[in-house]
Amino acid sequence: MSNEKLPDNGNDNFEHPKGTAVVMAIFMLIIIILWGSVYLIMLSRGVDFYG
Amino acid sequence: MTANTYQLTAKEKRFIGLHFIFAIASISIGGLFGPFQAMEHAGWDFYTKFLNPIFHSYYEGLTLHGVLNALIWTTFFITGFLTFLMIYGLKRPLRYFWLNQIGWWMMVVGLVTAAIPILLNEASVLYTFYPPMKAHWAFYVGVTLVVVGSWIEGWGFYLTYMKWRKENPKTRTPLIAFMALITMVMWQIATLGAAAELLVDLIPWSLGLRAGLDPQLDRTYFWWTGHPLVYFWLLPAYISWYAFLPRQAGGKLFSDSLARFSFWLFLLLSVPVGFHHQYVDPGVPSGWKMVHSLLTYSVFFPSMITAFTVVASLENAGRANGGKGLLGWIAKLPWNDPSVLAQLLAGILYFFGGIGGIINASYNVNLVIHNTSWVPGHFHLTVSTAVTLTFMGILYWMVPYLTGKKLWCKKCAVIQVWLWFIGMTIFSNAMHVVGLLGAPRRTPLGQAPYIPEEWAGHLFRVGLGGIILLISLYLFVAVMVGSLFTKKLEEEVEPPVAESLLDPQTTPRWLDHWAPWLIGATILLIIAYGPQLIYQIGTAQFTSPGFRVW
Repeated sequence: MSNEKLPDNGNDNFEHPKGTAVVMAIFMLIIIILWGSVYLIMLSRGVDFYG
Repeated sequence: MTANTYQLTAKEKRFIGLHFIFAIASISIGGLFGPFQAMEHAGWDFYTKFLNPIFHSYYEGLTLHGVLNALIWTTFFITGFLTFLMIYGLKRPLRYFWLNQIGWWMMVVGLVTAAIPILLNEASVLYTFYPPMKAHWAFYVGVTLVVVGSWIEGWGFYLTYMKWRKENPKTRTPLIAFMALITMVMWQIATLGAAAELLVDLIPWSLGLRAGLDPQLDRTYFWWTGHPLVYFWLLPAYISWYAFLPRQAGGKLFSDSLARFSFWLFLLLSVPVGFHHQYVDPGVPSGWKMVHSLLTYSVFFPSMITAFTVVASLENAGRANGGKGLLGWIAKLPWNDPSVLAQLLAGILYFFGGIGGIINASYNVNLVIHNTSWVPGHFHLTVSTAVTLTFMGILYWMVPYLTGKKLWCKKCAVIQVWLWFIGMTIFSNAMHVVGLLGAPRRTPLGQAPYIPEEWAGHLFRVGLGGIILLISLYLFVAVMVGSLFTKKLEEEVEPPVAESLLDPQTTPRWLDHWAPWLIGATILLIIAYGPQLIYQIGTAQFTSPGFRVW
């Protein structure tokens, strides 16, 4: 088993995954929009509150 | 110390290949009925016009589709893939090869035993086989044999691992073997529910040894297994995304530790969530439904770790290929490689499947979509795309690896993957939308005397998507069969196992210890299911006779 700790395939200039952060942010935004749209459909069908 | 370079023997490759042959044969038959369902929705009813009397009804077709695809294609593929991961990962043969062979044969006997009553229209109970619908006993026995066969293969893995661990006390478990083991352990915990349902209730009941059942209790048993079943399908796809895709794309795994941590969390959290499938069931107190709802939300955490780590690994690959800017690396991924393409497109659609899953899991919002066609729309993004398209992608490199022959018609494979993506996008979107408009699931909508005007266009899209998927499926089968008869490769295919950016030996030790995680999973299960199972068993009314509703 190699003790190498750093990448050696040309990736050693690897930076923080900023692109990944953008992708994840877009994903979170889509989650909010789609979940919210179904939530609004639920509300539009009428809601009964107890009490 | 010399590196262990153990390579799979021809016998081991043949054994794994047999799993895949049965898996592909299953999906090639089961997959045929999916488009028949879809076309029925669009008003093109093949069942009454052409398929009768060989295939008797929509529900027989739906059962074949569900059982052969969701249970057989997946289980045979997964046990074959895990076998490869264990041998290649640990770099040693299976400790007791014969034990795994017994498991395999048991699965084959189970498949045949279950298939016969389905084909004779004696078990059109769908793949969820909810009582009080009553199938022929052979169906339940067959399903049981498939599950027990997969357990036996799993026991073979555990014994192999124990031997390896003895020989390598200080080495971190190689990632692919580690993930294979967690998948199998999760499966064995998950299937305890179905085992109780089948062995204690359904088999004696179908044989006439029990007068009646309590359907509510059996639904609870079923969903103990039913939801983690989804993770049994998904985890092997995740294994490929974590441990193979980065290398195939030209990069490295972003974090070995995160990958392992997410798998431990899946082991912990996948199982105690079944009541979120029973939100509208009577007999389960709403407090317990809420507990399972919260636990289901907790699965979001390892899912997001997976999404982050896989995308970061792809970013690493894209940048290594020359990608610049925030998102420029995406274009530098090898989109023309059918194996990579399949996994990338599977991942894209899975983003939407995941979002649908969050909506399904929401206790109140679930009421909007419960038992509507939204639900099959959702799981066609998960099991039928994230899982199935990834498995197809794996086979695109693995069949050449196992056979030593090149992949036949690589271009056809690329077209096949795109067709699947396009067909599923059309089909699944239409199913989601028409579900929101109130269309029920598990219903031959084409036979309804009338349907709301606003459904019509969407149901047409359901049929259209189904046809495109059918073309894609048989293109996949053609590539697989063609690859068996094509030219030999000059060089052997090397399995594309990704290296991690950091040496796995630096992964924290606590991520390689089983005991705390197994104890944690057991405690969580006892908390989440214990009180309710005691109550439901204690108050069960075993009075329901069986019904044949088809």
